[in-house]
Order: sequence, then structure tokens, then C-alpha cells
Amino acid sequence: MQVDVRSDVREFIVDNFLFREDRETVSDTESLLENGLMDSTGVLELVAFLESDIGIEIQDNEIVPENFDSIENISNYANAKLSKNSN
Amino acid sequence: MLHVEKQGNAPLASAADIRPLERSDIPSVAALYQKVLLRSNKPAPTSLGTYLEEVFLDHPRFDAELPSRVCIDAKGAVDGFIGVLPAPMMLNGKSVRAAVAGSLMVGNPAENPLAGARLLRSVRSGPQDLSISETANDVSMGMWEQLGDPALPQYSLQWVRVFRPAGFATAALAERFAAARLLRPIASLTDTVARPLYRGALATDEKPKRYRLKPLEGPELIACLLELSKLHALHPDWDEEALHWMLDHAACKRRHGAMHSHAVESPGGKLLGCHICFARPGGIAWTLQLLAAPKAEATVIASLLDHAQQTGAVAIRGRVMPRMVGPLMRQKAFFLCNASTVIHTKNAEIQATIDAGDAFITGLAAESWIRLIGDRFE
Repeated sequence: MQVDVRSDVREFIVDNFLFREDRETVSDTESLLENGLMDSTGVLELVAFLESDIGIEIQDNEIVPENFDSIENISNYANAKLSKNSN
Repeated sequence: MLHVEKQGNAPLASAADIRPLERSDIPSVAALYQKVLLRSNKPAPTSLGTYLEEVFLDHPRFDAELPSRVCIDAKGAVDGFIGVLPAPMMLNGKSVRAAVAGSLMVGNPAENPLAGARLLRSVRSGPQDLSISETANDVSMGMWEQLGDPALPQYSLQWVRVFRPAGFATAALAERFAAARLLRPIASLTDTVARPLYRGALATDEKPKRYRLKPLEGPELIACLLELSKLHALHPDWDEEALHWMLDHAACKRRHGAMHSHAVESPGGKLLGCHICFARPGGIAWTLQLLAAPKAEATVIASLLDHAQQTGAVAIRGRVMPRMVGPLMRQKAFFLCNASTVIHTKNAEIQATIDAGDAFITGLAAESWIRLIGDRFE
């Protein structure tokens, strides 16, 4: 059975990026990049989390806004990678 | 829309792309360098573009598998760059393929927020055995750390030895505000009058000199560097042509004065070490390279300090090498960090050698010799 990583991703984003911007919440679809919640350093932190804690391997050319711009996009991307790995 | 690389297929298109630097990119990279790293609104001088092309595309040891990279934005324009210099090395008789990464810059990080991360990851995941960055600033160091590569303190610290405190303060100020040079006569007078007050704190070793300095250039300098570099387990695998080319580049740097290269010999003529520094009267001398035979570090450092003082420099600085920290401390140098050295390797032997301090991976071995580090383009 496929596990949905959305809650893990949300927890990581809230714990690591929101406090820096003095914010309390972020919606699943809100742009992390356009709103300045995540920059190049932040995305590498997120990549490290996804690789070490979620267990997916991320290619350089997959680090694009379409995959990393929101909690929803990140979760969908990670779930798709996990699904691909389990097939 | 997901952008996940599918097995056996090319990755789906993305908003921005990373690719090797091409000759046609040079004007754009020069403009980017002028805007981002030099923080200037003026057009990039032609000499800057010429220099970028020479260093990153016409390096004598250019390796097509270790290219500099550009980030192409959604409009097809160059919006990011990371420079890569090939740095072949040897470790205990085995070849080590090393790449020195630097000059990481992104033109519009707000529009292209992932470019820096992608450029750095792209280089770090290349085919080299060892990635080195010698001059990582706080932003790029933050990215290296997120990738799991901490700074190496024993290769990162700058050392500074002050000879004339008021002159040093004035020279340091003049590096940011040219008008501060007008204060030099006052600083000089202050140092002369106050000399008795800080003689004890700043006096150099008064012991009889146990060395002689021999000016070096051309083939003699190259032979000396080749001999001394091999005293480190991990060291550059230079050939004479490449080293000559690099030294020619270094000699063009004028920001800190003229380049001075010396061998340090024992009274009996034995090679103890060598140093290459840039110095001018009233300025802060800058050390490009300091190499010493085992147990000769203190003597070589003393000879460098003596020479810098004789040129009229008010202080001298350089990048530490692990073996030099103790002797520099005894010479009353102080230490600070304004750029970090960081490496990435999956090779345990390379990592252990660097951690043990037995590696020559900075200065001429990395990127301090290029004019992009501490020089001006007119």
C-alpha cells in the first residue's frame, strides 16, 4: 500500500521554513518560491530530507519549480517517485 | 505536471536548464559577473569576457567532462553560472581527478530560485573524484552544507600578521574606500611614534636568520613548486606548461602590488620552502602560496614576514594550510574567516588525507591564482 508523504512534507516545511518568515501556516497550494519561503539553500535542505527521510533519489534535472513549488507539488512528486520505486 | 525522469527516457522539459558553458555564452556570463559579483551597473569590460573565456574554456588542462555550467532560464537567456577549473591531483602515487568550483552566481534568484542549487548539484555530482571550492561565501557555503559538506576550518582560515597597526587599519579601510589612502601619512606617523608601545606585542623574531632568500622566476620557480608540492600526500599533478600558464595569470594580478616569488634555503643551500606573495609599500601584502619542507615551516614563515616588511607592507595575510597554523600562531598572526574551503568526495582515502591535514588543495592548487579572485578589470 502506497503511503502518502504529504503530512511529512508539511511538517518539514512548517518546522524548517515557516519560522524563518515569522508565519504560522501555509496552504498546500501556496507557492513556496514566489513567497520567498524557500530559496536555493532551502531546496537543498528539502532535497536532503526527501532523500534521507522519505527515501527517494532525486535527479538534478528534477529540481524544478513544477516539483518543488508547493506542498502539494512536492508531495505529488515524492509520491510518484515512491510509486515508481515500488513497481 | 510532474517532472520526474522516466526510466529509459529523457527527462521531461523543465522551466530552466543546466548545460555546459559554450563560447557564445561568454558575453552573458561576463555581464552576469559584473552585475552579481562585482555589483556594478556598468557594462562588463571586454577584458572580463576575454579572461573568463581563457580561464574556463582555454585552460591547458581543460576537461570536457568537467565543464563550467550555465543555467538557461525559461526565456532562453543565461541567468546562472558556476565556474569549474580542472585540477588533476595525485594521492600516494594514484591519479585523482579533481574539479575546483567557484564563481557561483544567479542573475535573478527571485525568478529563478532553484538555479543556484541546480548548478551546484550539477557540478558536485560530476565524474570527478574530488570537488573543491576554495572561496565559498556564506550563501554558497550554506548550499554546500545542505548537501552534506561542511567547511574545512584547517583550510579555510585567513591569517593576518600586522606590522604597523595604524597603517594596517588605514590600508584595510582603503580597500573599501579609496579616499582613506589620504590618511596614510598620519597612520605612518602614528606607527612611528607608538612603536615603543606595541613593540612587545608585534615584534618579529630577533634571532639570527637561518635562511637565505633566493628570488625565483620561470623554470626555477616551477621546479621549486613541483618539488615542494610533492611533500603533501594529496597534491596537484601539475605539468610544467599548465603551472607556467597559471603563474602567468597570477602575475597579472595587481590589486595587492607586484608578485614576489622566493625560494627559502638553509645557509648550506638546502631547499626549505618557497613563497609567492603580492606586496606594495603601505599596503596589506597577500600570500598566494606558502610551501615548506617538514620542520621548516617556522623558518619559511619568518622569511616571508621579513620579506613583506622589507617591501614596506603594513601587514601580510594568506590562507592557512594545516601545517602552518602553529608556526603562524607563534609569529603572532591572528585568524579570521571570510571565505570557506569545502570539499566533496566519496573516496575515503582522499577524505582521510584531507582531514589529516596532509593535502595541498588551496592557493595554486585551487582557484586563488585566477584574476577573478581579488583583481580588477578595467
